[in-house]
Amino acid sequence: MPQLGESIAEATIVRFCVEVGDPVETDQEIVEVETNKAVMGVTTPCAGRIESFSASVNEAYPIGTVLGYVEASVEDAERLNAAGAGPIAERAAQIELEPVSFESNEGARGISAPIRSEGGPFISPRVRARIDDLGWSPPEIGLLAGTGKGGRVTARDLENYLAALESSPTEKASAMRLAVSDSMRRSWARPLATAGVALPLDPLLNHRKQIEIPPGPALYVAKALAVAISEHPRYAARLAGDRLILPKSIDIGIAVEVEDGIIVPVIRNLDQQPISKLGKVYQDLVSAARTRRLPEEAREGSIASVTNFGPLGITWATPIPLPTETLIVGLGRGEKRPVWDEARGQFKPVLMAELTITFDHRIMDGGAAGRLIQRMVTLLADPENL
Amino acid sequence: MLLARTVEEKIANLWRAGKIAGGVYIGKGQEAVSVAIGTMLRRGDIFAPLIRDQAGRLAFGEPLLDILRTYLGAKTAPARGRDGNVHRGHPREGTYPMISHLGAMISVVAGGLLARRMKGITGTVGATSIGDGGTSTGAFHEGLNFAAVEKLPLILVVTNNQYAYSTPNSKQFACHDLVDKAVGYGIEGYSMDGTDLRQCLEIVGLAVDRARSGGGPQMVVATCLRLTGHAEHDDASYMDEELFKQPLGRDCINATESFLLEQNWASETALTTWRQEAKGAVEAATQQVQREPACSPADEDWMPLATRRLADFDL
Amino acid sequence: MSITYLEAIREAPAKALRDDPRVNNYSQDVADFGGAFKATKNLAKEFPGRVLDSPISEDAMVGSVVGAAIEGMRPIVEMQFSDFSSNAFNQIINQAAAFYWRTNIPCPITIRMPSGGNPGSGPFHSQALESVYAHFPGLIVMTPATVEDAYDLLLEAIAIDDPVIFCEHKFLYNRVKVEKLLEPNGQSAGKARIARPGRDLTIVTYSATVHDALLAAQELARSGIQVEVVDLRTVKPLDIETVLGSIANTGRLLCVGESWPWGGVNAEVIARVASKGFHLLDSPPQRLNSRDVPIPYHPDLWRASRPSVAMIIERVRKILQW
Repeated sequence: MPQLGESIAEATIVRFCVEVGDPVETDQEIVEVETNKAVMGVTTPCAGRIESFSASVNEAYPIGTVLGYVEASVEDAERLNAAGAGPIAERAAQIELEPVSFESNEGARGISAPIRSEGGPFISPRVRARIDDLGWSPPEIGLLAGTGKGGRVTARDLENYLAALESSPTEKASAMRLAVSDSMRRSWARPLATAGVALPLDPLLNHRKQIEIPPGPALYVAKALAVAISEHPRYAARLAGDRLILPKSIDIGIAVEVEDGIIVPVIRNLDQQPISKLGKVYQDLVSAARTRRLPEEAREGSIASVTNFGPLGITWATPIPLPTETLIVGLGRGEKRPVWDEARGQFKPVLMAELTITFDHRIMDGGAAGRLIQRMVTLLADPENL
Repeated sequence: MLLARTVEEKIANLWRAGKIAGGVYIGKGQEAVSVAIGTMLRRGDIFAPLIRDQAGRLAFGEPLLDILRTYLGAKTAPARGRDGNVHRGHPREGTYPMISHLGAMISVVAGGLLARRMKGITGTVGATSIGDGGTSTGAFHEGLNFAAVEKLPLILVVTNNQYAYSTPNSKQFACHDLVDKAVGYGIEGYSMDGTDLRQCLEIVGLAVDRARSGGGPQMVVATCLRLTGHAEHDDASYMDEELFKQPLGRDCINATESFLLEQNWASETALTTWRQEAKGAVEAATQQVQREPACSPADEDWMPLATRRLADFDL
Repeated sequence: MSITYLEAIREAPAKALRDDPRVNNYSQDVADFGGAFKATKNLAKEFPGRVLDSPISEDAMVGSVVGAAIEGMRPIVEMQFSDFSSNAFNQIINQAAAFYWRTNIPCPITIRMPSGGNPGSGPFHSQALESVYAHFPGLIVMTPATVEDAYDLLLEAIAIDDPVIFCEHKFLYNRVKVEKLLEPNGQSAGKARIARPGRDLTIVTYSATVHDALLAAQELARSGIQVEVVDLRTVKPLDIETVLGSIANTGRLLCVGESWPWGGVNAEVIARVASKGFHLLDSPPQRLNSRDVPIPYHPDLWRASRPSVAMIIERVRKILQW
């Protein structure tokens, strides 16, 4: 069906002027068609014989539809079918529009548009581009005072701030420092709370004397933590939307200080590891950590970790868990403290250390924290069972 | 005339076969008027053909391949696909390519003639065609008036084929005869029977001579009938059947053939030969063009300015 | 001895007529009368037969210069007021602008358009149509603001092989002058210039409003605000690189122009800046146009309907508070 006029999309067959098998000449009219403007003829492109018709009288066909075939000489067929100058009408007819359905799609909602377009926390494209250049992350902008409307930080404010910084001595932050910085920033995005208890150290200190490669106090605490969590996996759950993700395995990290930062190697399935073996395991992990050669499975994935800052002289602290951890247990420096002995009616010296646990308060409340701590204290009072 | 009629029939058939995009406009019924212009002008004159001037174009020297290349979308077409159908020409060789707005070419031809005068070129003229409908435009008025004020050697051939698309003369102008406008512009006007080749050659020849010898603009009004639709997609069913039966409705090519036979200037055999030759020439040209490469976006530089460094590129 | 903007506009074609026999001028009242604004004073006498009077036929005037261009001339045609170019619209956009694209033969015409408002000129003697013509492919549109640019750009317009719409601002005709004209460098078309360097905000403008912007910048400098003024000089092609360079410096943009708001030069600049220079913007780009009404006749209404020094100052301050 040829292009019969500028806005014609289809035409109806009125009659066939020849029959299948009839010989035809070039430009002979073979089909009569009707459009909404006129009755027109469709002609043959070359001489030959009608081989077949594939259309019917009184039916309408869109422009471009094959109405039939003409058997022609090889030369003519080649000439007319070749992609040379000629069938621009066919290309013009090929533009077909897909029917558009306007049924409402309940699930497809756009993202909500901000109401404010100025002032306050709005960061202009230029400021954003500049801080991207500097490698800052957006929250760092919040530390700046802005002179724009609503306290907006303008490009000039940012430049002034940077200029002021120029006058102080600077050094490049190491990759480790930046990694820790990013990690702690992300972790801090949730409400963290800390609860603590004083832990008597003698039971575990006595227990470890029997072991060949003795595990340090941190490992005892870690094992106790692992056992307690295995009894109530909820303690180490993570929140994703409205679901609590429970730990697959009890993998606990132990913080190790390295140059300019911290590494937290992970001991997998710690709840199932005997305390007697942990000394060696830990030794290996520490040297690997310090030489940055931790095996794949020890690098990340801890559900909770332990940090021992006692050797640094710190008695008490509120450590921050890694972003992927729900809680972290900190162990302070042991010191002899007077504890009232009711039986003897006097104070006796007991070696104690502060055990503090920082937890994600979205997952855990004070009650659960308290129960977790008490369980650990009970386990550590009788290390044979660890 | 025969060649023009034959090639236009070919184009119309190609269109019906779906090989041509856009409209096809032919000059059936006006070949005598048009060929007279092309014949009486000389090489070096200016000719701005309009829609139904295939005969005139061929007589003036436009290659037969141009119409086929343009309509069939060959890369070798004068406008290389950027414009099509009757909007073609070779300006530096004297054929100005028309734009669709009727009447607009009159001032362009007049401007070309004025420029030649300024350059000291004498002895050339410029001709353009227009239809009964085109005489209603403001551009017609401004162009003709300006040519008259400057007394330029412009020949304006107005072919009144009784219809402008579907509009008959009664709705197009109120004056008795279009040639009456000549007086209004202060120029010479002539009437002629557009179906009579001899008369057309005589009167157009006279007008061209008068213009060439300083007579100022010449308006020639030819009367005939449009023997086809406005374009090939128009079946012209609105035309008054009666007109086809009147003398102005006769086919100028048939009339010419009868005349030649009557005068014994040609035999039936000769006429048949000429018809076959025309057909052969058209077929050969068509086949040549169909083998030529088509226009392609890959070949386009999309540059609307001659001064490349000043093209305005955005995203 | 000083030269006004108008005199520069007379000098440039005079030089072209002298240097190139292909140049001519065919417009209304330009011959003995010397033009409605005297822009062609004495040219008919100095170049007999080359500066001719035409009838009041803008369509035919533009059509005729296209014909002249085909025959190898480099014609200049003057629309007595840019407002009357609407009568020639078809010939400008469909004949002249499309000619090279359709035929591969250049159309080296120059259309002079006395543009812009004066008090009391009213709706049909005040229009600034650069945006309208810039929209069509195949045209170059120039909008000089200074005497030097009027001279340089008009000379270049005549020398360029494409149709140039030369928007000369009537308000500037006798109000801007220089001591003397320097040698033209012939390469100014399509290049913007920094009319005044600054650091707090960029004003992009052209034609008469360049002067309003400079006055506003002067006033703002007294409060310590340094405004950079970019004079586009040619609006098509648009030198967006210079604009982006300026915004890289200041971070804030105000486009000022005398034409109407919808789809104008200001809108085009802002579209390109938002697209290519998003990361350079410290505040949303703004524009200041004439009001979206036909240009009023009464001088006070006219003044209130177009960008003024006071309006520019107020907008700059507002943007800086953002």
